[in-house]
Amino acid sequence: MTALLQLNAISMRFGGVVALREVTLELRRGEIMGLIGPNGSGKTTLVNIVSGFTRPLTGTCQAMGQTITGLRPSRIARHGVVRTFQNLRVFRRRTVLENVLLGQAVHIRGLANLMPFPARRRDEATAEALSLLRRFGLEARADAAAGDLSFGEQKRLELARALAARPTVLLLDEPAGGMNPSEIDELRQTLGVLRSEGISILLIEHNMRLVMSISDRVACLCFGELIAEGAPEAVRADPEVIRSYLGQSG
Amino acid sequence: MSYVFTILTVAALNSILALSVYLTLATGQFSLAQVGFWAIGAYGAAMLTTIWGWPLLPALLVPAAACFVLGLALGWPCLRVRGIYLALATLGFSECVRVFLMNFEYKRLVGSRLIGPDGVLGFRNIVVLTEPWHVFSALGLIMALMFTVERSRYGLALAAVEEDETAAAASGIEPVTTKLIAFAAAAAIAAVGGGLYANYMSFITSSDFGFHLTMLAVLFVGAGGLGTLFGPVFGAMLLTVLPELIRPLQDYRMIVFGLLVTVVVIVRPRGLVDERVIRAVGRLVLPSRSAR
Repeated sequence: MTALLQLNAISMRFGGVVALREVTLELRRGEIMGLIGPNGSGKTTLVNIVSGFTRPLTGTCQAMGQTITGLRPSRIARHGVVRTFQNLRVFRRRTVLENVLLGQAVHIRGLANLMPFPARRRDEATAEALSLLRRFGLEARADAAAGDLSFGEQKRLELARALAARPTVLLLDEPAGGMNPSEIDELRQTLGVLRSEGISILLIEHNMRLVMSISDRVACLCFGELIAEGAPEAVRADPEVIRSYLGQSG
Repeated sequence: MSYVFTILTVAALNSILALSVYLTLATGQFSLAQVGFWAIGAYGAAMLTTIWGWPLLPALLVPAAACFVLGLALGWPCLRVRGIYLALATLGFSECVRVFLMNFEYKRLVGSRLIGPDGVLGFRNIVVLTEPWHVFSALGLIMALMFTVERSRYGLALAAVEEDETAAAASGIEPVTTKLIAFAAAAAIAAVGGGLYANYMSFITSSDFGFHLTMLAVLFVGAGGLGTLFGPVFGAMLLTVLPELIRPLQDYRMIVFGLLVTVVVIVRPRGLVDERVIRAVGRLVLPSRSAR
């Protein structure tokens, strides 16, 4: 088990508020790591830092052995670290299929982008995109504008778009937010399949049943500090975690 | 007949300007720099053909290349700001160009006459090399190019950047580079249009390239439609021909024109030829088009 994603003493501050204090964390190959913690504890900030949208005050971040701190978000995505967003960010005016094709853009470089999808490559790309859509039950909606999809469908589309980039590390920011129980069950299965395909996942989630049942390890942030890290049962039983996040009866 | 043909030629020239504006808007940038590049293309091409006797084609392409580079240089700092601030910065550029040309004098003896840009008096006796078919071919070529690019992965990237730069970046698309290339290409297109214009009109002055033209250019796109490149061309055609059609209204002409434009913008917020119209036409033309 080697660390694919390594965070070294990441600190971040917004104004006078400490968002993250010396957070050190590693994500190993082929594991799902749950990241939990109360609202405002710095989970999304952490994802923003790893994906390059926020620059940390101090600390570095390595992915697949290469330092990615300071790289632009697009470069980090091309490096194989791909994220989704807590508040949906699909391209609403584009079709569902186009959203997924855009996700593949990571692998096309330079002037090839200007070529009008040479028919053969386009077919290949389209076929690949369609098979992703099939996997998420969206194939029938391929030509619909993404903005016309239901909330749950858009959530799945965003995940499909992220997977179109064939990521090594996937950062999921509350993928189950707003989903109903059956959708969450499907998500759990999907995440399990992705793990078996070798994708490492950092899963931010408030849904404890999902996190505790699918994660190999769980870390808990509270006010920017890592207060627990380990096997799901151990974190769930940790008195500090119970006091600051889960509550007594949780 | 020749009057109608002239109007159509001017409409095609305006369409090229509209496409230039459209290309910047396609990545969500509200740029008012297009008329500046148009003016540079006009003066550049006119000087090359008239003073130095260049043929039309290189006289169009050299200023276009220069404007591409200038577009990169101007875009690099400007594209970091958005919305109204980008509009102000690019308007500043257009005004700089206009005021420079207003004071620009460079006359050389051509044959027995002193010819060249003459400050506020403008640039007279430009050789007329632009034939209407040149304009229509250039418009056709630009449309074909843009149509191709729009259907490419780069075209998809443009649309993604327009809609959501953050999500685009998360998908591995570099927003600044994408916007910069579009901006520079739009500058080159404007320069070609300006060059054709100058060599069609035979007389240009800096006041041709003022704020009025800038607003008109934006109007072509806004009223015509933002969704595809057919909207701006339709808008430019319509808004060039319309004032001629309502000429009998005499002094009230521009008032009616302004009212019509206002109504269009309110009733059709994404222009007359918006995505829905395009899709409907597409279904008529290609009833069983497979998924893109």
